[in-house]
Amino acid sequence: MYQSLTYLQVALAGALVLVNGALSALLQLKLGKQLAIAAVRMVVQLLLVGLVLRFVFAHSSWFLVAGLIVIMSGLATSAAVQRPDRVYTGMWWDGLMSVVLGGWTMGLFAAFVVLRVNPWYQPQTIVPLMGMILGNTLTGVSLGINHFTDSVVGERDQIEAMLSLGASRAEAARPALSKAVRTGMIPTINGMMVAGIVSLPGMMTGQLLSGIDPVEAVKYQIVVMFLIASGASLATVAAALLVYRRVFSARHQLQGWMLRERRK
Amino acid sequence: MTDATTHAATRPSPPSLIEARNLSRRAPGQGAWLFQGISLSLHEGDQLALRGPSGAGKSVILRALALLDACDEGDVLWQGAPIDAAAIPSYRQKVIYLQQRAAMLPGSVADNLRLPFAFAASAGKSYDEAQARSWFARLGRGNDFLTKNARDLSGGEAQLVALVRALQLAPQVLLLDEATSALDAQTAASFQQLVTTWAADRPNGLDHGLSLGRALVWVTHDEKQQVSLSNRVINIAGGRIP
Repeated sequence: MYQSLTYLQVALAGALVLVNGALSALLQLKLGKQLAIAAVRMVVQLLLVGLVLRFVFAHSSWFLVAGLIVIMSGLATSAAVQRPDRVYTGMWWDGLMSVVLGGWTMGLFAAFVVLRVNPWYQPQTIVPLMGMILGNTLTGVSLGINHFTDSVVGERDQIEAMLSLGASRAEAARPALSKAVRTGMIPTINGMMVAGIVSLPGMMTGQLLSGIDPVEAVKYQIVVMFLIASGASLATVAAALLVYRRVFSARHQLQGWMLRERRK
Repeated sequence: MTDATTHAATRPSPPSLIEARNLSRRAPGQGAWLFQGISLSLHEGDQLALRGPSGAGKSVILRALALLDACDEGDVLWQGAPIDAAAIPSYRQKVIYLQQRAAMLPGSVADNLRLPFAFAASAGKSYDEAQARSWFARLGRGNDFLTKNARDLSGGEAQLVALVRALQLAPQVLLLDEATSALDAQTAASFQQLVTTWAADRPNGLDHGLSLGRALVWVTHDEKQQVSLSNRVINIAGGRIP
């Protein structure tokens, strides 16, 4: 059922990049160089990941798996904090805490409660699962930070009017917080709405290709969708709350000056 | 020096409401002083004007008195005692700062008036629509004003709503930062009239033996307003009281 690929077959698919190259040349898009770099990067990155995973899978030890998850979380954090339009001191750490809270909670829940993987660090299950969860968690984190800081800057006068009328910092921040969390959750909700209609989710596709029964693949996918949804939501809320604690002082003051525009 | 010295001579030592002790604040991140060594005390009955050129630091001092910004040095005392973090929301209902650009929240004028009653610091207070109507009538606004969408108000109308929104919380001190800047002369006059009537009103009853008397601090560029509204003037230049 499962068909292994030879490097020749991979190279045949790779030749398709020439189609893009030809289009670029024909339409004078001047994308040739970027296209070549992107294609090479993609191949090198994936081969490296493949080698690392082969090593980790072969050795199946808890500290290799844990180390890999820590590195993946760090990378997810760096990606998450690069997106928001505003930056502040301590943003990376807030991002990491949110990624860990959203991602690791779901990872642990999946390993010990839903899938009951034995041993818990079985890399074939945990590593791809954490990859998917962290990938969505980072989107949640960046949306949470971005929307909350946007609201705080854009509605500064309203927030200060509320503080001036005796609102506590939590009361004054509540509209901005709920707006940030709402907008942060929309991609997750949309993702669930169209799951299986517009395209088959990546993991399910992979399982189908490796010969698993479609209903079995769907069951796995449903589990993953719920893990992703909850992980992303937790991370969005955590990120927005962590920014809130920095931007609103304990003396109920809005310290909007902490948020600086990102230099582009 | 129109401060404490002349004050003591004109009135028999009324209790101090707000006392600022040696307040200094630097611009965030830059380090230049926004104001430095500001000491002043505000007593019951005071109608204090802060006077000085643009950029002298009047607004930031007013904000500091409302505890809206953290100061680098100094203290603000309320009736002689420091204000701890938990007491700040209720302090800000006793000492209300009106920003120059009056900020409206989504909803109608009435929604904006009801808003502060949802805060924990407003426990025991409730929205009184009849009172709000009578204040708006004195500002030349009819009954339908309450149902207007706050987003459609002009800058001047928003300043009127901001005043009524503050008055209904029965503050003891109003900190007015160019609070009539967007009003026409006639409406500005009714605004001032309402504020001075409020300031002269001394509610009966004791708040745990503390004074319930009122005072106001006024930042304005309007010379006439300074004369008619203040019984004390403090000059500010370069972030200091010279």
